[in-house]
Amino acid sequence: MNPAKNSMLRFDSVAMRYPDGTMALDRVSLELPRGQFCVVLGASGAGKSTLLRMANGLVTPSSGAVHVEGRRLSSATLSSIRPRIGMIHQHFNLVLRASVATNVLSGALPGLPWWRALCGLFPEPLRRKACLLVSAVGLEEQHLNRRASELSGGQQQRVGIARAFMLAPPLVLADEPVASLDPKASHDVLALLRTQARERGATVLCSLHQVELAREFADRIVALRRGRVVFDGPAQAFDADVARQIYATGVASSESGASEVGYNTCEPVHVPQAVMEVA
Amino acid sequence: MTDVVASAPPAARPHSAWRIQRSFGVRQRVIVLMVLLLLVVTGKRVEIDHMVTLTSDGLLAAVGLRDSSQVSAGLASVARQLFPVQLSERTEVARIENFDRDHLPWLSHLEVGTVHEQRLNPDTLQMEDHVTQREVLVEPLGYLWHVAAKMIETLEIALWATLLAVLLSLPLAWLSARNYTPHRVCYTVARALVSLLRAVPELVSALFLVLAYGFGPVAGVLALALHGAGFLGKFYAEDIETADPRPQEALRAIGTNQLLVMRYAVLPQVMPQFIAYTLYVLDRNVRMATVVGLVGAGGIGQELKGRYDMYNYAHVGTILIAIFLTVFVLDQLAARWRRRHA
Repeated sequence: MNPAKNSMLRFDSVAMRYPDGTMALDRVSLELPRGQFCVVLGASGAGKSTLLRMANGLVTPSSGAVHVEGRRLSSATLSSIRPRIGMIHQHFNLVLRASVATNVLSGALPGLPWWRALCGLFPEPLRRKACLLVSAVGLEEQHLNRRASELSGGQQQRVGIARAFMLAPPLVLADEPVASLDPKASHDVLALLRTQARERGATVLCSLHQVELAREFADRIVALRRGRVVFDGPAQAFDADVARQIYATGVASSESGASEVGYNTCEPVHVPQAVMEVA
Repeated sequence: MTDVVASAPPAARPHSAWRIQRSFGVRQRVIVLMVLLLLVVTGKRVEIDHMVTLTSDGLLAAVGLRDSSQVSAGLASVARQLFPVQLSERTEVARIENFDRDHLPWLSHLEVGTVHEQRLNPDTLQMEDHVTQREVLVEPLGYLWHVAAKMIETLEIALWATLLAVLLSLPLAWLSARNYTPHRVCYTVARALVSLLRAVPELVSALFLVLAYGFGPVAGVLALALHGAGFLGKFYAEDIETADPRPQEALRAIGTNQLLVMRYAVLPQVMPQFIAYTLYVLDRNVRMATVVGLVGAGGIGQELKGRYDMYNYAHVGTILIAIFLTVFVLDQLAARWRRRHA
């Protein structure tokens, strides 16, 4: 297959510099083939979120380019590219006072004529699809007409996943989808995301800070530290040593190399867990 | 960003050296003194002392510690004139066009009254006592019906004024919400317009609108709508600005246009407040519709003004009670609706 055709998402040495001079991302280049489940790991402030939000233009890189399905992201192409990218958010970003059904249906708004959407006239096939997705993410019929605020965190994120798949996007971005969930719910939600993406052949770019979850669910792990890619490879290759490396100075605020050395002397086996607590 | 290097913490001091700030420092005391001074000066200018003397006189008179007081006497005379309120309506049959004796209005009956009249006899140039028999149509609740009809007209004015205010204020709110306005100039102009609309009192704009549109409900509707639009525009805009941005971002991330983001991510969030504000404006419009009627802008206010000018205080009493009951009932309904939609 043509390599350009197979590329779902490509970052071409994207950089992000904030006005105060901090570099959130420093010339990151990355290419995601279709169908991959790629997890971006890193401590908070490593630039995961910025990278993800560049993929659908929520953040504009200060230099470099983003290509989605071979088309360069720009203000001209933004409105046609965005509906092809689903997004799942850390805080679920549901309209809490609206019903689950409305929240899920709102994921299909860009695909409707604006006047239909304004009047809430969702065509029957879309309604069917919403029901199908709500059941696919493990919710029941009785949840449909409940307000989103009445659901638990895990259930809310399920609604978020259902909403993200409404337009059958070939690419799904998940920005810390489980950061505000407990471990059990985190596991379930990630498993669900992975199954749904597999079934629909969607590429997933997911940011996480839990090393275990990344190793369990990812095809590929990209680790960021201070805006730079420090690891990029299959999940199996991501071991405790690498984990130590990315988190060693990513969390601590001092720049001195001494702490990195000091960290290296820690007991190696339990590092991922220790890291989780620190993060 | 976590990359910010924390500066070294200052050396810890023993707790005996710690200080908790006092609640009232010198600054606060000076401010309190200034406020008191301001109240004394302004109170003198608006004759608060006079009010206190008169009111206490009135209270003392009410409990019998004083023979008379200006306030209690005034209130008593008002009460005597307002009550009993006027419910019936008496019309001379001779003045009714096409009077049909066989089909009297509902609940009404005919009375024959003797009317004594002093008339000047042109021949003798003497005042003579004339006695005439006149037939009068008595409708026991006639005036009440009349007031009810006027009250309904007032409610209609308030309803339409509120509707127009909402329609006018929605685009204004969009333009004057910082996160939705298309341009800074639009924002400034819309904000200024909203302030201007709110700054002009209904009664004043009604005065001018009566000149433009003539006597009648149109002027009232427009006057109330313009003021209401200023009020709603400001509050709608503030709610739009403070709505949770996260659902809005979720919709924007998949390429939803601004209009639909507003409809699906903002509107559901702000609906309870929108309803509360709109109900408040409706409530206010009902009260203000009676006031703008005073300058000829239709409704029960016009009736009130007419009766007041003709010294028909019993009629005025009926009107006042009708206004009170309407506002009270509306208040209860609004409270119930707000509870359901909160």
